[in-house]
Amino acid sequence: MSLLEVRKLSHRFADGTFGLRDVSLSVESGELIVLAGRNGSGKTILMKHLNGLLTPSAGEVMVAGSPVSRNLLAARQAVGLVFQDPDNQIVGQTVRDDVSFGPENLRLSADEIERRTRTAIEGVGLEELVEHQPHLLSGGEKRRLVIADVLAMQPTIVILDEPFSGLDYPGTKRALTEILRLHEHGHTLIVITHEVEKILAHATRLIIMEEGRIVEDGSPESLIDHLERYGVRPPNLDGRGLSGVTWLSS
Amino acid sequence: MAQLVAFHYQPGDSVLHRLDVRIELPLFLLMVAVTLRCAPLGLSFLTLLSVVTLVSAHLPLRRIAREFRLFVFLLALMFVARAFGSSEPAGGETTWLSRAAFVPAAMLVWRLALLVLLGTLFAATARAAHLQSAVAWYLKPFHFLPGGRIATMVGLTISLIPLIFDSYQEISDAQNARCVHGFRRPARRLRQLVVPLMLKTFGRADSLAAAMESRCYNDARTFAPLHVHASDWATAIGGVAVAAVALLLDLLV
Repeated sequence: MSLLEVRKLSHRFADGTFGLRDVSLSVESGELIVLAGRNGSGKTILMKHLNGLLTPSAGEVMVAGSPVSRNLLAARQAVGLVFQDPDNQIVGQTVRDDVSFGPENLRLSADEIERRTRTAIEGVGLEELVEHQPHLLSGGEKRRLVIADVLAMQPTIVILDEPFSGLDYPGTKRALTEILRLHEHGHTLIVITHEVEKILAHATRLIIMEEGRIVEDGSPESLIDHLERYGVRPPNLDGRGLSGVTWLSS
Repeated sequence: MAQLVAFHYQPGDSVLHRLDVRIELPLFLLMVAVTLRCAPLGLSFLTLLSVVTLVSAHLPLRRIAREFRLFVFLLALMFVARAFGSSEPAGGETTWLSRAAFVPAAMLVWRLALLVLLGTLFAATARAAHLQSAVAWYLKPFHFLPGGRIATMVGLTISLIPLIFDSYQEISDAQNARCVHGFRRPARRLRQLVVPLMLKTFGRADSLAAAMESRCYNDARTFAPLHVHASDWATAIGGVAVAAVALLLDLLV
């Protein structure tokens, strides 16, 4: 049984245009998938269907064999979403309060909330900043905070929407390290980005979307030459193999 | 602007920081009520104690004072408008700084300043998460009210004030870069500022709601645990005693 399965998913907006058309895919445990495509190709809309934030016009999403629509709470716990703009998802007055928001919603005991909050904060290296106001953190720290927000809910799949957007070079390297560390610790990851050169060397699978459809799905090596035609800048291999273009080698 | 400290929680270990918010909230409301009721002697007593509490809470006083410069200016304007524009009760003629006009103007400004001081003390020492728990606790007996939702809304409002200030500053800078300050009509300038600020705030509210939903938001959450200690009751009794003394002082005069 796949961790996540999308079956013939379509989403039609009120004005009649399609955000998604007949999208089908399955995600297996331990994958690190890069979901690429130009702006407006449907990546974020697909992400919002994966934990029930949007309701499909047709088709369905199954999480661990169970339809998302049948148990929204379980689906949202299992599929953690990290949105593009951290400022739009911070709800707490301090780092600690923000991370504990998710476990509080799961109605866990106070001790378990405290344990999960502490573990998640330590996991992203923000333990020195627990009492800081989230809005005063740097861009990279905010990004780590929203990852901790999701980790505190102990999801099986983490989806990151444009995790490198707005980050400088050190911030990008730190975010990439964090993503790879999550993957090493057994998380299944979907990274939505059009900046594929920053992560593709580490991905196990590449999915390309165009006009609400999945147009390519395969190994990064086999699809790297197709990126350009879908409006995504391919990594500059410069004679090296794909594994040689990681941003972490310096 | 997100660096504002006034009306923001400041981590600390003072008596007020440690005080259970279920006690701090009614004490704060009591002090507000007494401030509105007191005459000069009681008000002096309350002001003195508030300043002492502010200092003992180890809050960044200089920064707070700097952030309240505009408010002090507004208070001064208010004082001038009241003191110089009042009418004599009998004759109905406009006077120029008579005692009859000066005292009410001074009292109004004094009360407003003290209310803001009390608000600063409360906001700086009460965590939003604990305030949520306290609000939910107080609303628990009222089954017809969505206590959990109201508590979350209170916490969110307090937490998100800096972001709205940030947006305001960003939009204001962008407008000034396009020479909006050159507009002669203030109403037009205000519209140029308020409309994008409202749009941005509502857009952010939408995104935030989606992010909260994705983190399983529901009204029946586990709120942060609160604990009342003996020292909290002592502080409560002390607070009520201060309020009583402030009112009694006015009766003595």
